[in-house]
This record gives sequence, C-alpha cells and structure tokens, in this order.
Amino acid sequence: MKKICLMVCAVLFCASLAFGDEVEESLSTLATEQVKVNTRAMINAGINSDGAIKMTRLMLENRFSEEHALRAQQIIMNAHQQGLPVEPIMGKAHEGMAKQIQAKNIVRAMEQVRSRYAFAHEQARALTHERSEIRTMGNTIAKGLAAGMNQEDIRGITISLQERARQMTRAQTMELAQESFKATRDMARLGLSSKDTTDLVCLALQNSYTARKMENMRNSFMTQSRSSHPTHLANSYFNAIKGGKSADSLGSSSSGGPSGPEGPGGPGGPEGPGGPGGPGGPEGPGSGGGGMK
Amino acid sequence: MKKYFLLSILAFSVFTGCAHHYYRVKGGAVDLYLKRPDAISVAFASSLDGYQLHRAEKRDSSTWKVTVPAYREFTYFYIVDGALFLPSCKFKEKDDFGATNCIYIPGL
Repeated sequence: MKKICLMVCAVLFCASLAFGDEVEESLSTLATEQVKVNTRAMINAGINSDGAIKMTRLMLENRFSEEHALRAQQIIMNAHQQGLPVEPIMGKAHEGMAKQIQAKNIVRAMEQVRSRYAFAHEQARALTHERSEIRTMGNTIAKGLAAGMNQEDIRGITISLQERARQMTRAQTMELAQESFKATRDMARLGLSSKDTTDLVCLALQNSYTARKMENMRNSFMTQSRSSHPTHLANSYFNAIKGGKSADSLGSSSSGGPSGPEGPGGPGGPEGPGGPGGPGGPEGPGSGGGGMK
Repeated sequence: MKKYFLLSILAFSVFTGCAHHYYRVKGGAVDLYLKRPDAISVAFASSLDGYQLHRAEKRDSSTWKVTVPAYREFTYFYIVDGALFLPSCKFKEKDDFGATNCIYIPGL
C-alpha cells in the first residue's frame, strides 16, 4: 500500500512538471516577473490563455516597455471585468504591431476600443437586459462607431428606438433595434456622414418602419451604392420616405434627388475589376452631410 | 488645355502609385488583387488571423494576389515595400491610428 501511494505521488509530481506553468514556459526569457504575474492574472480571470500569452509575447517581441505591456494587459482585464469582448482589443494590439505603430499609441488605441465597446454596450443595455442581445447589438453599434458614427448620433437613434418600443412587443423592438443599428453601421461604412446616417435611420423609425422594412432599406442602399454616391442616395431615400414611399421603391428614379457620381477610387466588385484605386494612407475628407433637409 | 489635362492625369497616377484594387470570389475563398507595378514586396494583413503578415504572390509585372477565406467579414490592409498602404475600397473603418482599414463583406 505504501509503495502504491509513493508511486501515485511520483506520477502526479512528474505530471505537474510535464504540464508546468505555460506562462513561464512561453514568456520566461522575455517578460519581467510583474508581466508574468499579470499574464497569469488575466488567465485566472477567465481570459483565453493562448490569446493572453500570444498578445503578451508579441508585445515584448515588439519591444514594448514593461509599463506599456502592463497597461495593455490592464485594459484587457478591465474590459473582461466589465463584461466587454476582449478579442477586438487584443486584435487592435496585433493590428498596431503589424503596422509598426509606437507602443504608447497602440495602448491608447486599445483603450479607445475598450471605451467604444463600453459605450456601445451601454446603449444596448438601454434597450434590453438580455446578455446575448446586449453583446450582439453592442458589437454592431461598436462597428458603427468605428466606421465613423459619433456617440451623440448613436444616442439619438437609441432614443428613437425607445420611443418606438412603447408601441411594440419586446421581440419586435429587439428585431427593429438590430436592423436599425445594422443599417447605421453599413451606411457609415460606405462613407455616409454620421449626421446623414442618423437623419435617415431616425426618419425611417419615425415613419413606423418595421424591422423588415429597415432591412429592405439597408439592402437596397447597399446595392444602389454601387452606382450612386452614398450622400446623394441618402438624400433621395430621405425625400422618398418623407413622401410616403415604401422601402421597396427607395432609390428608384421616381423617388427624386439626383444620383451623384461615384466617389474617388471606385471599388472593386466580386464580378470583375473596379475603377482605378486611390492613394493609401490616412483617409481624406469624408463626403460630409448637408444633403438632408 | 488638353495637354494640361493629360499632364494632371499622369501626375495623379504617379502620385497615387497607379494603384488598382479589386477582388473575385471563388467558392469559399476570395482572391484579392492589387496592381502596384512599382512595388518590390507586398504583404497582406487581416483580422482573420490577428493581422499576421502574408506575402502576396506576384502574378505579372504589375499585379499582386492574395487568397483568403471568404466566409466572414474582415478588415485588412497592405504593407507595400515596408510601408502601410490602404487601397481604394468600398467599405472602410477608422483604425484608431489616424488611418483607415478596408472591410471585406461577403456577398457585397
């Protein structure tokens, strides 16, 4: 019996040595003790261990100072504690390193992403208390913010939705909210200004658009943006909705408003080559609002 | 007048590096093409894999190609001769570093 116990202890001891401390194994030569402690804290808090170790390792390989590495880890932990997704924040770190951005600016961008998702989830919580709905809607809102929507305009859309919610069931409200924020995100991604996007989405909501009509408007806008400038298209949609036209006929020639020329650097499509590309680097001036009356 | 117009077109082309960007979807993958006849090396990075750099394949004297899965949306950019390059693209978002990223959206 004693021999069996000794053998079991020996096997268990060897097993623990074999698995070891993955943080120590992965970061031993790179990280200070404090960085390793923080990495373990991230993992113990429930953050994916591979992701935490990979991000930390990459930061150190990219010559992050201990201060910047610890700050980046703290941003991730704060996000996790607040119930926010950490993958977009880690992704921002990876993106910054791929672009060879300075560590201090990467850390600043990570905090911006955390803050963006915090605001987005706060807006979602104004409409629902279901965790999965908050996450889905919050992510859509965050992508809209990343595409150029400003917080004030997002608040305006949330308020419009809350007003509509008084006349709808909870399920209808959720569906409408999801479609409204998808439309917001996609129009902003096309370069439509925050103001013009908000004006159009809020007008649709004020005109009792259902989730299906909002979805139809979004799909129609995306399709027609291939041949019309988003600002001119939004203008024609705005006038059409005001004139009582249905979502299916938005953007047709009878709905008024000229179709503008395509913006600089036409897009490549899935079927064939697009127009000549524009320069890289920072984005130039946006198309701007002002088309809405 | 015509001479000045042609010169301004030429100047614009030179300034922008004669870049031309498009993609084609084949099954579950998307081939992204970038025309940069002046480039020595082109790398592609996307949110699909944490922005790991992937060398683009040179197809001819001016065209570079990279193939990635097309089943979900992703943000992306290029590194051309060591410098960040964002081609003209339909869908964009800010990158929080003062520039923008392109977005590929399946089906659009």
